[in-house]
Amino acid sequence: MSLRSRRVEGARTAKRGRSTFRMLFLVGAAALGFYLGLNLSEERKHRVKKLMFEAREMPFRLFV
Amino acid sequence: MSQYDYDVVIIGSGVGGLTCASLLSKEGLKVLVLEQSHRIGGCCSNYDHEGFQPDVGAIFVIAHELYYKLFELLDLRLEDYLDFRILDPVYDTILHDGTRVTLPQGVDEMAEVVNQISPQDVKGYYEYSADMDKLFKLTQAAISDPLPGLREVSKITNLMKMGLKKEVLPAIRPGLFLGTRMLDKAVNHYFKDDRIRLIFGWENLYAALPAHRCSALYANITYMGRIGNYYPRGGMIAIPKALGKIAEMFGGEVRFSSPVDRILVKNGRAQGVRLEDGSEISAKAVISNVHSRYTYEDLVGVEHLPYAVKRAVRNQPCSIPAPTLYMGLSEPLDSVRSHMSVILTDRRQFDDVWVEFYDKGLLYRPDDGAFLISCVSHSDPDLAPPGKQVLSAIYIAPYKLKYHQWDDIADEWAWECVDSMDKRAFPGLRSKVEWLDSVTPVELERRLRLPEGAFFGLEMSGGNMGPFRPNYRSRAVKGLYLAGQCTNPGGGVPLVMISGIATSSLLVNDWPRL
Repeated sequence: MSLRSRRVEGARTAKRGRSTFRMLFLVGAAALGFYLGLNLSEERKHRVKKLMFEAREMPFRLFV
Repeated sequence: MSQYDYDVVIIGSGVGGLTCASLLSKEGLKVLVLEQSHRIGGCCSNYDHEGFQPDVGAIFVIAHELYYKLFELLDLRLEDYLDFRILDPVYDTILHDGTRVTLPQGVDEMAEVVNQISPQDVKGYYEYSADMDKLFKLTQAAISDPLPGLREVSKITNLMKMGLKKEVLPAIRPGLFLGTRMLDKAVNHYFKDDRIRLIFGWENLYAALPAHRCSALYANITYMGRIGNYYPRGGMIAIPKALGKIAEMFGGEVRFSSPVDRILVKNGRAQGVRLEDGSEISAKAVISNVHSRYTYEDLVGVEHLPYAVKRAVRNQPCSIPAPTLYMGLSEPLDSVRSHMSVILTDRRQFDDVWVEFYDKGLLYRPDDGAFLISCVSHSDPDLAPPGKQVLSAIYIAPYKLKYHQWDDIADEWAWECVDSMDKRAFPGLRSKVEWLDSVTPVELERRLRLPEGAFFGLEMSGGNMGPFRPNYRSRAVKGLYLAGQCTNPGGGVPLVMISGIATSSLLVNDWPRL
Protein backbone atom coordinates (compact mmCIF):
# COMPACT_ATOMS: atom_id res chain seq x y z
CA MET A 1 0.00 0.00 0.00
CA SER A 2 1.44 3.35 -1.04
CA LEU A 3 2.03 6.15 1.41
CA ARG A 4 -0.78 8.15 -0.19
CA SER A 5 -3.33 5.32 0.14
CA ARG A 6 -2.25 4.77 3.75
CA ARG A 7 -2.86 8.48 4.47
CA VAL A 8 -6.27 8.35 2.81
CA GLU A 9 -7.15 5.20 4.76
CA GLY A 10 -5.95 6.84 8.00
CA ALA A 11 -8.08 9.92 7.38
CA ARG A 12 -11.10 7.71 6.69
CA THR A 13 -10.57 5.77 9.93
CA ALA A 14 -10.26 9.00 11.92
CA LYS A 15 -13.44 10.36 10.31
CA ARG A 16 -15.29 7.11 11.09
CA GLY A 17 -14.01 7.32 14.66
CA ARG A 18 -15.27 10.88 15.02
CA SER A 19 -18.70 10.05 13.66
CA THR A 20 -18.90 6.98 15.92
CA PHE A 21 -17.98 9.16 18.88
CA ARG A 22 -20.59 11.73 17.85
CA MET A 23 -23.23 9.00 17.55
CA LEU A 24 -22.25 7.56 20.95
CA PHE A 25 -22.48 11.03 22.47
CA LEU A 26 -25.95 11.58 21.01
CA VAL A 27 -27.21 8.17 22.13
CA GLY A 28 -25.71 8.78 25.59
CA ALA A 29 -27.34 12.22 25.84
CA ALA A 30 -30.69 10.79 24.70
CA ALA A 31 -30.42 7.96 27.25
CA LEU A 32 -29.51 10.41 30.00
CA GLY A 33 -32.39 12.70 29.00
CA PHE A 34 -34.78 9.74 29.00
CA TYR A 35 -33.50 8.61 32.41
CA LEU A 36 -33.83 12.11 33.89
CA GLY A 37 -37.25 12.47 32.30
CA LEU A 38 -38.41 9.25 33.93
CA ASN A 39 -37.19 10.46 37.30
CA LEU A 40 -38.84 13.87 37.14
CA SER A 41 -41.63 14.57 39.55
CA GLU A 42 -45.09 14.85 38.06
CA GLU A 43 -45.02 18.61 38.58
CA ARG A 44 -41.68 18.95 36.73
CA LYS A 45 -42.95 16.75 33.89
CA HIS A 46 -45.97 18.99 33.58
CA ARG A 47 -43.80 22.10 33.44
CA VAL A 48 -41.49 20.57 30.79
CA LYS A 49 -44.51 19.49 28.71
CA LYS A 50 -45.98 22.97 28.92
CA LEU A 51 -42.67 24.57 27.90
CA MET A 52 -42.34 22.20 24.93
CA PHE A 53 -45.89 22.99 23.85
CA GLU A 54 -45.19 26.72 24.07
CA ALA A 55 -41.94 26.40 22.10
CA ARG A 56 -43.79 24.51 19.33
CA GLU A 57 -46.64 27.00 19.11
CA MET A 58 -44.75 30.28 19.46
CA PRO A 59 -43.72 30.65 15.80
CA PHE A 60 -47.39 30.54 14.69
CA ARG A 61 -48.26 33.40 17.06
CA LEU A 62 -46.11 35.77 15.03
CA PHE A 63 -48.76 35.72 12.28
CA VAL A 64 -51.72 36.91 14.35
CA MET B 1 -70.14 61.81 1.46
CA SER B 2 -68.49 58.70 2.95
CA GLN B 3 -69.57 55.32 1.60
CA TYR B 4 -69.45 53.99 5.18
CA ASP B 5 -71.92 54.46 8.04
CA TYR B 6 -69.05 55.12 10.44
CA ASP B 7 -65.30 55.62 10.13
CA VAL B 8 -64.57 53.23 12.98
CA VAL B 9 -66.74 50.66 14.76
CA ILE B 10 -65.44 49.49 18.13
CA ILE B 11 -66.68 46.19 19.54
CA GLY B 12 -66.86 46.29 23.33
CA SER B 13 -67.02 49.21 25.73
CA GLY B 14 -64.16 48.10 27.95
CA VAL B 15 -61.43 50.52 28.92
CA GLY B 16 -59.39 49.62 25.80
CA GLY B 17 -62.31 50.26 23.46
CA LEU B 18 -63.33 53.49 25.16
CA THR B 19 -59.74 54.77 25.16
CA CYS B 20 -59.76 54.25 21.38
CA ALA B 21 -63.21 55.84 21.10
CA SER B 22 -62.24 58.99 22.98
CA LEU B 23 -58.89 59.44 21.19
CA LEU B 24 -60.24 58.72 17.70
CA SER B 25 -63.33 60.91 18.20
CA LYS B 26 -61.01 63.72 19.23
CA GLU B 27 -59.11 63.18 15.95
CA GLY B 28 -62.37 63.91 14.14
CA LEU B 29 -63.30 60.36 13.15
CA LYS B 30 -66.91 59.20 13.28
CA VAL B 31 -66.82 56.47 15.92
CA LEU B 32 -69.43 53.99 17.15
CA VAL B 33 -68.92 51.76 20.19
CA LEU B 34 -71.10 48.64 20.36
CA GLU B 35 -71.63 47.12 23.79
CA GLN B 36 -73.42 43.77 24.15
CA SER B 37 -74.73 44.40 27.67
CA HIS B 38 -76.69 47.31 29.10
CA ARG B 39 -73.76 48.48 31.24
CA ILE B 40 -70.59 50.23 30.21
CA GLY B 41 -67.11 48.99 31.06
CA GLY B 42 -66.84 45.26 30.21
CA CYS B 43 -64.26 43.95 32.68
CA CYS B 44 -64.09 47.29 34.50
CA SER B 45 -67.73 47.68 35.44
CA ASN B 46 -70.07 46.92 38.32
CA TYR B 47 -73.35 45.25 39.20
CA ASP B 48 -76.25 47.03 40.78
CA HIS B 49 -78.45 44.78 42.88
CA GLU B 50 -80.90 46.89 44.87
CA GLY B 51 -78.19 49.42 45.73
CA PHE B 52 -75.37 46.93 46.26
CA GLN B 53 -72.78 47.93 43.66
CA PRO B 54 -69.71 45.68 43.74
CA ASP B 55 -67.06 46.01 41.03
CA VAL B 56 -66.90 43.51 38.20
CA GLY B 57 -63.34 42.65 37.27
CA ALA B 58 -60.93 45.45 38.04
CA ILE B 59 -61.04 46.32 41.72
CA PHE B 60 -58.51 49.13 42.18
CA VAL B 61 -56.22 51.44 40.26
CA ILE B 62 -52.49 50.90 40.12
CA ALA B 63 -49.97 53.20 38.38
CA HIS B 64 -52.53 55.98 38.30
CA GLU B 65 -49.95 58.32 36.72
CA LEU B 66 -50.69 56.59 33.41
CA TYR B 67 -54.27 57.86 33.49
CA TYR B 68 -52.92 61.41 33.54
CA LYS B 69 -51.00 60.64 30.32
CA LEU B 70 -54.21 59.59 28.59
CA PHE B 71 -55.92 62.79 29.66
CA GLU B 72 -52.87 64.72 28.45
CA LEU B 73 -53.41 63.21 24.98
CA LEU B 74 -57.05 64.24 25.19
CA ASP B 75 -56.09 67.81 26.22
CA LEU B 76 -58.31 67.44 29.30
CA ARG B 77 -57.81 67.55 33.06
CA LEU B 78 -58.26 64.20 34.80
CA GLU B 79 -59.55 65.91 37.96
CA ASP B 80 -62.56 67.19 36.01
CA TYR B 81 -63.69 63.62 35.32
CA LEU B 82 -62.27 61.31 38.00
CA ASP B 83 -61.75 61.58 41.73
CA PHE B 84 -59.01 59.13 42.74
CA ARG B 85 -58.52 58.41 46.43
CA ILE B 86 -55.56 56.52 47.84
CA LEU B 87 -56.24 53.22 49.59
CA ASP B 88 -54.50 53.21 52.93
CA PRO B 89 -54.08 50.61 54.40
CA VAL B 90 -53.23 48.69 51.23
CA TYR B 91 -54.33 45.26 52.42
CA ASP B 92 -55.64 43.55 55.49
CA THR B 93 -53.73 40.28 55.26
CA ILE B 94 -54.88 37.16 57.08
CA LEU B 95 -52.34 34.33 57.09
CA HIS B 96 -52.98 30.61 57.60
CA ASP B 97 -51.60 30.61 61.15
CA GLY B 98 -54.03 33.30 62.24
CA THR B 99 -51.53 36.17 61.89
CA ARG B 100 -53.46 39.22 60.79
CA VAL B 101 -51.58 42.29 59.61
CA THR B 102 -52.76 45.49 58.07
CA LEU B 103 -50.24 46.46 55.43
CA PRO B 104 -49.62 50.19 55.42
CA GLN B 105 -48.78 52.30 52.42
CA GLY B 106 -45.30 53.72 53.20
CA VAL B 107 -41.99 51.84 52.89
CA ASP B 108 -40.82 52.53 56.48
CA GLU B 109 -44.23 51.75 57.93
CA MET B 110 -44.20 48.46 56.02
CA ALA B 111 -40.70 47.70 57.38
CA GLU B 112 -42.16 47.92 60.89
CA VAL B 113 -44.75 45.30 59.96
CA VAL B 114 -42.04 43.05 58.52
CA ASN B 115 -40.07 43.54 61.74
CA GLN B 116 -43.06 42.36 63.83
CA ILE B 117 -43.39 39.13 61.81
CA SER B 118 -39.77 38.34 60.99
CA PRO B 119 -37.01 40.73 62.17
CA GLN B 120 -34.41 38.90 60.06
CA ASP B 121 -36.24 40.00 56.89
CA VAL B 122 -36.11 43.77 57.50
CA LYS B 123 -32.71 44.06 55.77
CA GLY B 124 -34.04 42.06 52.80
CA TYR B 125 -37.12 44.27 52.69
CA TYR B 126 -35.04 47.44 52.39
CA GLU B 127 -32.88 45.77 49.70
CA TYR B 128 -36.08 44.77 47.87
CA SER B 129 -37.49 48.29 48.19
CA ALA B 130 -34.25 49.89 46.95
CA ASP B 131 -34.17 47.63 43.87
CA MET B 132 -37.85 48.18 43.11
CA ASP B 133 -37.48 51.89 43.60
CA LYS B 134 -34.83 52.03 40.86
CA LEU B 135 -37.20 50.35 38.42
CA PHE B 136 -40.12 52.45 39.59
CA LYS B 137 -38.12 55.66 39.09
CA LEU B 138 -37.26 54.55 35.57
CA THR B 139 -40.93 54.07 34.68
CA GLN B 140 -41.72 57.42 36.30
CA ALA B 141 -38.97 59.11 34.27
CA ALA B 142 -40.16 57.42 31.06
CA ILE B 143 -43.58 59.03 31.40
CA SER B 144 -42.43 62.31 32.89
CA ASP B 145 -42.01 64.22 29.62
CA PRO B 146 -45.10 65.59 27.90
CA LEU B 147 -46.35 63.14 25.28
CA PRO B 148 -46.21 64.12 21.62
CA GLY B 149 -49.46 63.96 19.65
CA LEU B 150 -51.38 60.73 19.09
CA ARG B 151 -49.70 60.16 15.71
CA GLU B 152 -46.18 60.27 17.14
CA VAL B 153 -46.78 58.42 20.40
CA SER B 154 -46.30 54.90 18.96
CA LYS B 155 -43.32 55.79 16.78
CA ILE B 156 -40.06 54.05 17.61
CA THR B 157 -38.20 57.36 18.00
CA ASN B 158 -40.64 58.45 20.70
CA LEU B 159 -40.45 55.10 22.49
CA MET B 160 -36.63 55.33 22.44
CA LYS B 161 -36.77 58.87 23.76
CA MET B 162 -39.02 57.70 26.60
CA GLY B 163 -36.60 54.89 27.49
CA LEU B 164 -33.32 56.79 27.24
CA LYS B 165 -33.19 58.43 30.63
CA LYS B 166 -30.43 58.77 33.19
CA GLU B 167 -32.47 56.51 35.47
CA VAL B 168 -31.67 53.60 33.14
CA LEU B 169 -28.17 53.00 34.55
CA PRO B 170 -29.14 52.30 38.19
CA ALA B 171 -32.07 50.17 36.96
CA ILE B 172 -29.89 47.84 34.87
CA ARG B 173 -28.74 45.55 37.71
CA PRO B 174 -32.17 45.00 39.35
CA GLY B 175 -33.73 44.86 35.89
CA LEU B 176 -31.39 42.07 34.79
CA PHE B 177 -31.78 40.26 38.10
CA LEU B 178 -35.57 40.30 37.94
CA GLY B 179 -35.84 39.90 34.17
CA THR B 180 -33.98 36.59 34.26
CA ARG B 181 -35.86 35.03 37.16
CA MET B 182 -39.31 33.87 38.08
CA LEU B 183 -41.23 35.61 40.87
CA ASP B 184 -40.89 32.79 43.43
CA LYS B 185 -37.07 32.73 43.06
CA ALA B 186 -36.79 36.51 43.35
CA VAL B 187 -38.99 36.66 46.45
CA ASN B 188 -36.94 33.83 48.01
CA HIS B 189 -33.79 35.87 47.34
CA TYR B 190 -34.99 38.87 49.33
CA PHE B 191 -36.91 37.17 52.14
CA LYS B 192 -36.29 34.17 54.40
CA ASP B 193 -39.55 33.76 56.33
CA ASP B 194 -42.32 31.91 54.45
CA ARG B 195 -45.00 34.26 55.78
CA ILE B 196 -43.15 37.31 54.48
CA ARG B 197 -42.44 35.51 51.21
CA LEU B 198 -46.15 34.94 50.82
CA ILE B 199 -47.06 38.53 51.70
CA PHE B 200 -44.73 39.73 48.91
CA GLY B 201 -45.32 36.85 46.54
CA TRP B 202 -49.05 36.31 46.13
CA GLU B 203 -49.70 39.18 43.76
CA ASN B 204 -48.72 36.97 40.83
CA LEU B 205 -52.48 36.41 40.85
CA TYR B 206 -52.77 39.78 39.13
CA ALA B 207 -50.70 38.33 36.28
CA ALA B 208 -52.96 35.27 36.41
CA LEU B 209 -49.99 32.92 36.61
CA PRO B 210 -48.44 30.70 39.24
CA ALA B 211 -45.34 32.28 40.81
CA HIS B 212 -43.02 29.75 39.13
CA ARG B 213 -44.18 30.90 35.66
CA CYS B 214 -44.53 34.60 36.39
CA SER B 215 -41.67 36.97 35.59
CA ALA B 216 -40.02 38.46 38.65
CA LEU B 217 -40.56 41.89 37.08
CA TYR B 218 -44.08 41.60 38.52
CA ALA B 219 -42.49 42.16 41.92
CA ASN B 220 -42.51 45.82 40.87
CA ILE B 221 -46.31 45.73 40.76
CA THR B 222 -46.29 44.56 44.37
CA TYR B 223 -43.99 47.47 45.22
CA MET B 224 -46.16 49.97 43.38
CA GLY B 225 -49.03 48.73 45.51
CA ARG B 226 -47.04 49.64 48.60
CA ILE B 227 -46.45 53.11 47.12
CA GLY B 228 -50.15 53.55 46.57
CA ASN B 229 -53.26 51.90 45.17
CA TYR B 230 -56.11 54.19 44.26
CA TYR B 231 -59.86 53.90 43.93
CA PRO B 232 -62.12 56.24 41.99
CA ARG B 233 -65.19 57.77 43.63
CA GLY B 234 -68.27 55.98 42.32
CA GLY B 235 -66.44 52.66 41.86
CA MET B 236 -64.28 51.33 39.04
CA ILE B 237 -67.13 51.92 36.59
CA ALA B 238 -66.36 55.65 36.99
CA ILE B 239 -63.38 55.16 34.64
CA PRO B 240 -65.28 53.78 31.61
CA LYS B 241 -68.13 56.20 32.36
CA ALA B 242 -65.67 59.12 32.16
CA LEU B 243 -64.13 57.82 28.93
CA GLY B 244 -67.58 57.22 27.40
CA LYS B 245 -68.60 60.76 28.33
CA ILE B 246 -65.44 62.15 26.71
CA ALA B 247 -65.98 60.09 23.53
CA GLU B 248 -69.54 61.44 23.30
CA MET B 249 -68.32 64.98 23.95
CA PHE B 250 -66.05 64.66 20.89
CA GLY B 251 -68.92 63.31 18.77
CA GLY B 252 -68.55 59.55 19.33
CA GLU B 253 -71.51 57.28 20.01
CA VAL B 254 -71.90 54.41 22.51
CA ARG B 255 -74.72 51.95 21.83
CA PHE B 256 -75.78 49.45 24.52
CA SER B 257 -77.51 46.04 24.22
CA SER B 258 -76.04 45.68 20.72
CA PRO B 259 -74.21 42.36 20.55
CA VAL B 260 -72.13 41.87 17.41
CA ASP B 261 -72.67 38.63 15.52
CA ARG B 262 -69.98 38.92 12.82
CA ILE B 263 -67.26 41.18 11.56
CA LEU B 264 -68.00 41.57 7.84
CA VAL B 265 -64.93 40.53 5.85
CA LYS B 266 -64.71 40.90 2.09
CA ASN B 267 -61.56 40.13 0.09
CA GLY B 268 -59.55 39.85 3.30
CA ARG B 269 -60.66 43.27 4.50
CA ALA B 270 -62.94 44.22 7.40
CA GLN B 271 -65.92 46.19 6.06
CA GLY B 272 -68.07 46.63 9.16
CA VAL B 273 -70.13 44.46 11.49
CA ARG B 274 -73.42 42.56 11.57
CA LEU B 275 -75.39 42.72 14.81
CA GLU B 276 -77.28 39.79 16.32
CA ASP B 277 -80.56 41.43 15.26
CA GLY B 278 -79.38 41.10 11.62
CA SER B 279 -78.68 44.77 10.94
CA GLU B 280 -75.38 45.66 9.31
CA ILE B 281 -73.16 48.66 10.03
CA SER B 282 -70.41 49.48 7.57
CA ALA B 283 -67.13 51.03 8.66
CA LYS B 284 -63.74 51.73 7.20
CA ALA B 285 -62.02 50.14 10.20
CA VAL B 286 -63.12 47.82 12.99
CA ILE B 287 -61.50 47.72 16.42
CA SER B 288 -62.19 44.65 18.53
CA ASN B 289 -61.87 45.13 22.26
CA VAL B 290 -63.00 41.58 22.98
CA HIS B 291 -60.91 38.43 23.49
CA SER B 292 -58.67 37.64 20.49
CA ARG B 293 -59.95 34.05 20.24
CA TYR B 294 -63.55 35.23 20.20
CA THR B 295 -62.64 37.95 17.69
CA TYR B 296 -60.98 35.63 15.20
CA GLU B 297 -62.94 32.38 15.62
CA ASP B 298 -66.47 33.70 16.21
CA LEU B 299 -66.59 37.22 14.80
CA VAL B 300 -64.23 37.01 11.82
CA GLY B 301 -64.79 33.28 11.17
CA VAL B 302 -62.13 30.64 10.64
CA GLU B 303 -62.88 30.55 6.90
CA HIS B 304 -61.13 33.93 6.56
CA LEU B 305 -58.00 32.85 8.42
CA PRO B 306 -54.82 31.26 7.11
CA TYR B 307 -53.66 28.02 8.79
CA ALA B 308 -50.99 29.65 10.99
CA VAL B 309 -53.46 32.19 12.44
CA LYS B 310 -56.16 29.56 13.00
CA ARG B 311 -53.69 27.36 14.86
CA ALA B 312 -52.20 30.19 16.92
CA VAL B 313 -55.58 31.54 17.95
CA ARG B 314 -56.90 28.11 18.96
CA ASN B 315 -53.81 27.09 20.93
CA GLN B 316 -52.88 30.31 22.66
CA PRO B 317 -53.51 29.67 26.36
CA CYS B 318 -56.06 31.77 28.20
CA SER B 319 -55.33 33.26 31.59
CA ILE B 320 -57.03 31.98 34.72
CA PRO B 321 -60.65 32.94 35.26
CA ALA B 322 -61.48 35.19 38.19
CA PRO B 323 -64.61 33.60 39.64
CA THR B 324 -66.14 35.91 42.21
CA LEU B 325 -68.71 35.83 44.98
CA TYR B 326 -70.73 39.00 45.42
CA MET B 327 -72.26 39.54 48.84
CA GLY B 328 -74.66 42.15 50.09
CA LEU B 329 -74.63 42.34 53.90
CA SER B 330 -77.53 43.47 56.06
CA GLU B 331 -75.15 45.45 58.26
CA PRO B 332 -71.44 46.32 58.18
CA LEU B 333 -68.95 43.89 59.69
CA ASP B 334 -66.43 45.41 62.10
CA SER B 335 -63.90 42.80 61.04
CA VAL B 336 -63.67 44.34 57.56
CA ARG B 337 -60.81 46.73 58.27
CA SER B 338 -59.70 47.76 54.82
CA HIS B 339 -60.96 48.23 51.25
CA MET B 340 -58.91 45.18 50.26
CA SER B 341 -58.40 42.05 52.35
CA VAL B 342 -56.57 38.91 51.42
CA ILE B 343 -56.95 35.54 53.09
CA LEU B 344 -53.95 33.32 52.39
CA THR B 345 -53.04 29.71 52.96
CA ASP B 346 -49.53 28.58 53.83
CA ARG B 347 -47.01 29.14 51.06
CA ARG B 348 -46.61 25.54 49.91
CA GLN B 349 -50.37 25.06 49.76
CA PHE B 350 -50.74 28.34 47.88
CA ASP B 351 -48.27 27.14 45.21
CA ASP B 352 -49.72 23.62 45.19
CA VAL B 353 -53.16 24.91 44.22
CA TRP B 354 -51.85 25.41 40.68
CA VAL B 355 -50.32 21.97 40.29
CA GLU B 356 -52.46 19.78 42.49
CA PHE B 357 -55.84 21.30 41.69
CA TYR B 358 -55.97 23.96 39.00
CA ASP B 359 -54.13 22.08 36.22
CA LYS B 360 -56.05 18.88 36.97
CA GLY B 361 -59.47 20.56 36.96
CA LEU B 362 -60.07 19.82 40.64
CA LEU B 363 -61.71 21.95 43.28
CA TYR B 364 -60.01 22.28 46.63
CA ARG B 365 -61.78 22.77 49.95
CA PRO B 366 -62.42 26.51 50.39
CA ASP B 367 -60.46 26.32 53.68
CA ASP B 368 -57.37 25.43 51.63
CA GLY B 369 -57.81 28.31 49.19
CA ALA B 370 -56.97 32.00 49.07
CA PHE B 371 -59.50 34.83 48.71
CA LEU B 372 -59.00 38.41 47.60
CA ILE B 373 -61.83 40.42 49.12
CA SER B 374 -62.82 43.90 48.13
CA CYS B 375 -65.21 46.02 50.16
CA VAL B 376 -66.09 48.98 47.94
CA SER B 377 -68.46 50.48 50.49
CA HIS B 378 -65.51 50.78 52.90
CA SER B 379 -64.07 53.54 50.66
CA ASP B 380 -67.29 54.80 49.15
CA PRO B 381 -70.39 54.22 51.32
CA ASP B 382 -72.63 55.26 48.40
CA LEU B 383 -71.90 51.89 46.78
CA ALA B 384 -74.13 50.04 49.26
CA PRO B 385 -77.60 50.88 50.60
CA PRO B 386 -77.51 53.01 53.81
CA GLY B 387 -76.39 50.98 56.83
CA LYS B 388 -75.37 47.99 54.70
CA GLN B 389 -72.12 46.66 53.24
CA VAL B 390 -71.07 45.02 50.00
CA LEU B 391 -68.21 42.55 49.53
CA SER B 392 -66.76 40.72 46.56
CA ALA B 393 -64.41 37.76 46.95
CA ILE B 394 -62.21 36.57 44.07
CA TYR B 395 -60.68 33.08 44.20
CA ILE B 396 -58.80 30.67 41.93
CA ALA B 397 -60.69 27.84 40.27
CA PRO B 398 -60.40 26.03 36.96
CA TYR B 399 -62.80 26.63 34.09
CA LYS B 400 -63.35 22.94 33.38
CA LEU B 401 -63.99 20.74 36.37
CA LYS B 402 -63.04 17.10 36.11
CA TYR B 403 -65.87 15.65 38.19
CA HIS B 404 -68.54 18.38 38.31
CA GLN B 405 -70.44 20.93 36.28
CA TRP B 406 -70.14 24.48 37.62
CA ASP B 407 -73.86 25.15 37.23
CA ASP B 408 -74.68 22.18 39.49
CA ILE B 409 -72.40 23.14 42.34
CA ALA B 410 -72.31 26.96 42.15
CA ASP B 411 -74.60 27.62 45.13
CA GLU B 412 -73.24 24.91 47.38
CA TRP B 413 -69.63 25.99 46.63
CA ALA B 414 -70.52 29.64 47.23
CA TRP B 415 -71.91 28.97 50.70
CA GLU B 416 -68.91 26.79 51.57
CA CYS B 417 -66.69 29.73 50.61
CA VAL B 418 -68.79 32.09 52.76
CA ASP B 419 -68.41 29.69 55.71
CA SER B 420 -64.66 29.55 55.17
CA MET B 421 -64.34 33.35 55.14
CA ASP B 422 -66.61 33.53 58.19
CA LYS B 423 -64.31 31.13 60.03
CA ARG B 424 -60.98 32.58 58.91
CA ALA B 425 -61.50 36.34 58.83
CA PHE B 426 -65.00 37.72 59.20
CA PRO B 427 -66.96 36.15 62.09
CA GLY B 428 -70.71 36.50 61.64
CA LEU B 429 -70.45 36.90 57.87
CA ARG B 430 -72.87 34.09 56.96
CA SER B 431 -75.69 35.37 59.12
CA LYS B 432 -75.45 38.84 57.57
CA VAL B 433 -75.49 37.81 53.89
CA GLU B 434 -78.81 38.99 52.42
CA TRP B 435 -77.75 38.76 48.75
CA LEU B 436 -75.28 36.26 47.27
CA ASP B 437 -74.34 35.99 43.62
CA SER B 438 -71.88 33.29 42.63
CA VAL B 439 -70.19 34.12 39.33
CA THR B 440 -68.39 30.92 38.37
CA PRO B 441 -65.90 30.72 35.46
CA VAL B 442 -68.69 29.42 33.23
CA GLU B 443 -71.02 32.23 34.27
CA LEU B 444 -68.22 34.72 33.64
CA GLU B 445 -67.93 33.38 30.10
CA ARG B 446 -71.67 33.80 29.57
CA ARG B 447 -71.95 37.28 31.04
CA LEU B 448 -68.82 38.86 29.56
CA ARG B 449 -68.21 36.63 26.52
CA LEU B 450 -64.77 35.74 27.79
CA PRO B 451 -63.58 32.39 26.41
CA GLU B 452 -62.92 30.06 29.38
CA GLY B 453 -63.88 32.96 31.67
CA ALA B 454 -60.36 34.29 31.08
CA PHE B 455 -60.41 37.55 32.89
CA PHE B 456 -56.95 38.69 31.90
CA GLY B 457 -57.36 37.64 28.27
CA LEU B 458 -54.40 35.59 27.20
CA GLU B 459 -51.87 34.21 29.61
CA MET B 460 -49.11 36.72 30.38
CA SER B 461 -46.19 34.28 30.24
CA GLY B 462 -43.07 34.86 28.12
CA GLY B 463 -44.38 32.86 25.15
CA ASN B 464 -47.49 35.04 24.97
CA MET B 465 -45.98 38.47 25.29
CA GLY B 466 -44.27 40.89 22.90
CA PRO B 467 -44.30 39.64 19.30
CA PHE B 468 -46.14 36.46 20.39
CA ARG B 469 -49.23 38.34 21.61
CA PRO B 470 -51.85 39.31 18.99
CA ASN B 471 -50.85 42.40 17.08
CA TYR B 472 -52.69 45.73 17.47
CA ARG B 473 -53.03 45.79 13.70
CA SER B 474 -54.36 42.41 12.57
CA ARG B 475 -51.96 40.58 10.26
CA ALA B 476 -54.75 38.36 8.94
CA VAL B 477 -57.54 40.85 8.16
CA LYS B 478 -56.88 44.31 6.74
CA GLY B 479 -58.76 47.12 8.47
CA LEU B 480 -59.16 45.08 11.68
CA TYR B 481 -57.45 46.32 14.84
CA LEU B 482 -57.33 44.85 18.32
CA ALA B 483 -57.18 46.54 21.70
CA GLY B 484 -57.53 45.28 25.25
CA GLN B 485 -56.12 42.61 27.48
CA CYS B 486 -55.24 40.16 24.66
CA THR B 487 -52.79 42.62 23.11
CA ASN B 488 -49.59 44.00 24.58
CA PRO B 489 -48.81 44.89 27.33
CA GLY B 490 -51.55 42.62 28.78
CA GLY B 491 -54.39 42.56 31.31
CA GLY B 492 -55.07 45.20 33.96
CA VAL B 493 -56.72 48.58 33.58
CA PRO B 494 -53.65 50.80 32.96
CA LEU B 495 -52.14 48.24 30.59
CA VAL B 496 -55.36 47.96 28.61
CA MET B 497 -55.43 51.74 28.40
CA ILE B 498 -51.89 51.69 26.93
CA SER B 499 -53.05 49.19 24.32
CA GLY B 500 -55.93 51.54 23.45
CA ILE B 501 -53.49 54.42 22.95
CA ALA B 502 -51.17 52.27 20.79
CA THR B 503 -54.04 50.95 18.64
CA SER B 504 -55.46 54.44 18.11
CA SER B 505 -52.04 55.80 17.18
CA LEU B 506 -51.47 53.04 14.62
CA LEU B 507 -54.93 53.48 13.14
CA VAL B 508 -54.55 57.23 12.81
CA ASN B 509 -51.24 56.74 11.02
CA ASP B 510 -52.75 54.05 8.76
CA TRP B 511 -55.88 56.10 8.03
CA PRO B 512 -54.79 57.68 4.69
CA ARG B 513 -53.85 54.22 3.35
CA LEU B 514 -56.96 52.38 4.54
